[in-house]
Amino acid sequence: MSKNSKWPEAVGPLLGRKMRRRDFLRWTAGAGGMGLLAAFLGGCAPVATPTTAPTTGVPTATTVPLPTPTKGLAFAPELAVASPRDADRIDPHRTTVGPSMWMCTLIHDSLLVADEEGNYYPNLAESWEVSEDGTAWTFHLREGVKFHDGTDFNAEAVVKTFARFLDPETQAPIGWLPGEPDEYTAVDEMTFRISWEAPWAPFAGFLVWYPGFGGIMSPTAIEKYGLDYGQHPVGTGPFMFEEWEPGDHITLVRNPNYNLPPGPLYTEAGPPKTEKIVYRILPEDMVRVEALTKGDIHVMVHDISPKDVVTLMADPNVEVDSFPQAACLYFAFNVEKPPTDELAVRKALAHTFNRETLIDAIYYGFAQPAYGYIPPGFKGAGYSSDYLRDTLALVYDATKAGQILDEAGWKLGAGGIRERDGQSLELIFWNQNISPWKDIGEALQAQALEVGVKLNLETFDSPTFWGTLKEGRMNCWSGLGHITTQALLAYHFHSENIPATNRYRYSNPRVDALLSEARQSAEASDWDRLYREAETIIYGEDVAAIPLLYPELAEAWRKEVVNCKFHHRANEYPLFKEIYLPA
Amino acid sequence: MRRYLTKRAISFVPTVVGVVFLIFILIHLAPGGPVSALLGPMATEEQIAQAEHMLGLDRPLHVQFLSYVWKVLHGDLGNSIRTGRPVFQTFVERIGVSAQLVLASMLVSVALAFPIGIVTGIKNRSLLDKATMVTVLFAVSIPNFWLALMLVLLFAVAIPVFPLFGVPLISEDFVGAIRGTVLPAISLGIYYAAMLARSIRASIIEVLNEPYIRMARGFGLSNGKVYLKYAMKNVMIPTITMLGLQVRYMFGALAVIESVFAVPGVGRLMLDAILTRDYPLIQGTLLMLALIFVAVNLVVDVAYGYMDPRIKW
Repeated sequence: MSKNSKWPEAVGPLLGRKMRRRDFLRWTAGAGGMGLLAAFLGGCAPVATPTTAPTTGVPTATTVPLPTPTKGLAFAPELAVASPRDADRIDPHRTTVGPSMWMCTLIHDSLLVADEEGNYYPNLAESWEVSEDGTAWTFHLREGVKFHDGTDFNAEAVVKTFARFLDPETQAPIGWLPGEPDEYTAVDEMTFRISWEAPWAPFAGFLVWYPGFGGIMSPTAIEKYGLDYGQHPVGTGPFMFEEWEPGDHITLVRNPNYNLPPGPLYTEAGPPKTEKIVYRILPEDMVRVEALTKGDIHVMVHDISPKDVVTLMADPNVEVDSFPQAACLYFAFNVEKPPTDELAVRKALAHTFNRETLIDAIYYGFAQPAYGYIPPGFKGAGYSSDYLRDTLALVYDATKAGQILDEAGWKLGAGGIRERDGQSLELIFWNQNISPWKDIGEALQAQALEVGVKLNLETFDSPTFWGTLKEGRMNCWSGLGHITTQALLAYHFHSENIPATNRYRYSNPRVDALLSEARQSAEASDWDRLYREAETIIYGEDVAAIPLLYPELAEAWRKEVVNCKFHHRANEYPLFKEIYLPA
Repeated sequence: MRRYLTKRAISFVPTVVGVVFLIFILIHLAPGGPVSALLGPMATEEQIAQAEHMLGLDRPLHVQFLSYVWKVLHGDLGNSIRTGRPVFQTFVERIGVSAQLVLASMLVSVALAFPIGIVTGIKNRSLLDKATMVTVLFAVSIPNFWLALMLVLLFAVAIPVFPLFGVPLISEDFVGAIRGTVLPAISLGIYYAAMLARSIRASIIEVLNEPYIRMARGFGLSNGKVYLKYAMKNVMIPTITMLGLQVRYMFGALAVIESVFAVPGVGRLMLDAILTRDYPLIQGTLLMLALIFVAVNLVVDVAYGYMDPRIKW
């Protein structure tokens, strides 16, 4: 290779010319021009140093002694947690990102908490009442609680938190969760009341299933930092924010004044045992797994791939907890664009996909088959996914799928693709270009081909995917719907949300009426009836979507870590007050 | 020299304006916007419209562009949409460790390429040359993420001589920084070392056939003097050009290496910014990198003058 061939004129022979001062030493000095570059680039390094601890909101933290060890155990001062992703803003109102919510739940407390069965318990509120018509909730708040910055917790703080949440300036992505209250006030120093014109069913769910979102924030910090609160979060929770080096780590320290009594989630009162939690961002899967195996980190959270779950389960020093998350992986239709505007095509595909194969091949068994969007075990969902499976009978049956298409006039043509009136049965299938979507897309494509339906797969990165689905240029797509409250079904299937979140462009007045009624009904038994009926119509009669599976979430930690617990009902919500690592 | 630098400084302005314009157009052409990344899949039309209004994304494109340029001219790169933190501060926090990696990789590249390139150039067509060139070809063909993972498995897991993750800044923890930088620097540097070695070898072969070298030999100068004093000087011109290019390529390849070794540098910053369509962060980071590249070019051009007395500033 002659890289220098374009230089012949410039570097022509110096024959007969004395080399003068530019001798060997000089050109080594010239090569040292790179050294200049070194100095230039390296010079940036010290600048970065002071900013590694941009925000320190907890001056008292480092002087706090460790709690007295029980049963003769001493605690290791630091617990290292690894995640592939960084937080964006540790702000309950301004994030939808998993790591941020994770931090929010450790730093903030919510008014109520729920156990794994979905029963509500007091937390920052000692007791509460709901008015008979279900339109007003009154909370009697716990006395003697202080925020990490020393501010007193009282009704005023709750009012300020709600005011910020509902302020359009805040741009809360989940701003709809508290509904549109008529009034939220401090009745007295320790009593908070919130009311709506009609009952707002998602409210209780909001308080407990999104403990991060429902966290009460220090009014002093809200005032001081405004929209920048996410860089300086201050709550009443078991851990206090200490430092955040973006892309590298976030450090939390124990709140020595934490004094909430034991409830359904914790057995002991008092502050956390672990002095410090270092949340380390390790983007590479293999490195995270090896770091846990070697003991460089103690707990591994977020996005553990099913393949790594298998590896970690085989490790005798590692404990793995895998549980169904509150989310449904679905195959969805644009019911307006031909040929998926035809019920027969959609119905045939509902018999085409083999859930068991997907679960085994892509999830290594760590998923459960889904026949409805609402995951198992929801309070109010008195019916289960199995009920929908048995009632709708839209299970895997390739022969039946073929029959339906035959009856609709789609006959098998050359190359195994069905045809009708010279038009072949091809669907534009959109998908995301990251794991596990790539694999899922290809598996679905292969399964559809078996019944003679060709899915033309087009893949996009996530922002493009979610940003352009509403344009409706696809016939079908697959996605993961987080269903942390049943009210989210309205976002998917209520016609008022076409095309922003109802990308199916699905409109059925009966379903609209059922979803609206459920949202405004205070009784759990009503939700059961209403959502069951709505779901039956959506997947059974109209087949706007095909629920496929509930993927499991996994967390892994080293066996020596004690009390490592997660709230299974509320996605990956860490219950870390009592966690510790024996020294 | 001063006149030259002034001229370069002036020509630098249209370069930057061009870069700002190009980046602006390109990221706005990409489908999906920061709002859909920010608000998540379940945002309603009103929420999206409101967020776009608050971020000023509902204004005509030329207004957005002019207002951005105006701010940049006043030294304000804006705030990241995703985190709300100032772009300039974010960049400064992240560039140090990336620069450290690039520099170390350059050292790996230079330290390997010069001896290999020179020896194989001089011993052209020998068995040593052929064997080395096959190895070099292998090194050029290895994807750097694969090499990075293999090095981690070998030297951080199987034989744990180096840490599994984390590269502290050299100003904070000297020994830790050296230990942490070795594997990423090799992963990133090997490819460029191989490219550079091939280039040096080719230049040496070419230069050694020049009449002035024959003449130098004719004067009875020693081999060492002929190679180091006369041949290397002409070899250095294309080599320095290539080194300058390598700095740029390395910054481009950083995202992968920084992900494997969990380094919070500009490579990952760029990647995250692009994936979340964080317009101000993409624009600001690319602009700052462009400034660095312009500076590197300047260093390269100045270095030419030292190599070749006929190049005048």
